[in-house]
Amino acid sequence: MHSPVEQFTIKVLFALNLFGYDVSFTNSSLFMVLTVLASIAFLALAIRPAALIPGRMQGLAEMLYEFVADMVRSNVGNEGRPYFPVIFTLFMFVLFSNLLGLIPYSYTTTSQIVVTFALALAIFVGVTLIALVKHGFHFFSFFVPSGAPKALIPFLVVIEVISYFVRPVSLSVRLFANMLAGHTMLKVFAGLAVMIASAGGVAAAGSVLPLIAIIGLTGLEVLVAVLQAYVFTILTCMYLNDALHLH
Amino acid sequence: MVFFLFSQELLDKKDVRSGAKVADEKSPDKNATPAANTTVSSSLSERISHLEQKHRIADDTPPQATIPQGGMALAGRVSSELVAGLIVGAGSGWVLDRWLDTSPLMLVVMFFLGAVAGMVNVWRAVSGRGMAAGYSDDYETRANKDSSE
Repeated sequence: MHSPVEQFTIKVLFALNLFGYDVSFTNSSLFMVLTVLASIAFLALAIRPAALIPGRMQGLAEMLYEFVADMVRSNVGNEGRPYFPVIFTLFMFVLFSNLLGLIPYSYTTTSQIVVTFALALAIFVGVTLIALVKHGFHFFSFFVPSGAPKALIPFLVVIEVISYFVRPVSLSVRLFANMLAGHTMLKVFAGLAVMIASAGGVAAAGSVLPLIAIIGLTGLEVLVAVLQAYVFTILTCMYLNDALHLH
Repeated sequence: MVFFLFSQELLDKKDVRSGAKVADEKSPDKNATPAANTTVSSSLSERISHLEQKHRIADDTPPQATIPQGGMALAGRVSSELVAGLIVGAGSGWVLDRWLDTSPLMLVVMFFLGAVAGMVNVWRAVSGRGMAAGYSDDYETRANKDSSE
């Protein structure tokens, strides 16, 4: 009987050592490469007809584009336009790695905290640099709540600074925890079905129940995959908005 | 959830674009029908002016960042903010302890400060104040202006 968390094991496909660092190509790396290739292939093939009245695939690609474009426009405004490519790339990467992970025998790269944290940290550092370049020293006024009593300001600044550094952690933990929990839950129900079936006799018929549950949960997982990609992207937009328009 | 709702809206727009044939099949109470009944040129110029106005509004007003307030998205957000606040607080306290050799003073202090920061973030999430740090005054004035309009 396999453990429900065995699906998250990192397997080294071929070992690689660069300057004393272990940079082996693992199953996680493989699926990250596949995610990138799949999203590029999907978009390239979908917009290939370039028809005035889009077909199904082109419509889907345009819908994704307009969806992210509208999200950037409504959450960041016009100054957000230069950042649209990176936000769209981010959305496609998270969406495709979430969805590819739902295919049986595949691997969910976003179920690894190191992957989501690397993404979130890159966003955090990038957004902070944008704010520093755009506003200079004025950026640090971000941490001083206006209208607070003078005596409380040192205490509040510490809390504001911590709550600023919480951003990359909460961003990465949210995505990682959702994917990890969802896939573990699917595996637990699958294991339950196998266990009941192996009981034999009349009791084996009971394995239909967890099987039905898995069908429902898979639908839920598709929803979670899309929703978490959306939440990840919209929070990036909001952080960018904060950086561009300081209060 | 929001994604699917949004895509349905886009599909409706696409129907309008592809002409009157699709619009006729729709029920008359859909807003697609009046646009299809008018002549092509006027509906096009109407749409252009409508879009221009929409973009002008988007250009003029500073965007007010909002997070979807749907139950699932909000629940996930609140729990992760709480956990992340504790992780960052305790983690930075531990690092400070090792650095300043003050174990366990900073760990205890930063743990509680991290918990407070997490709760502040939760309050921000549920009160719809976006992610901005600080309690800037213009939140209230902006909210009042919005309600008066």
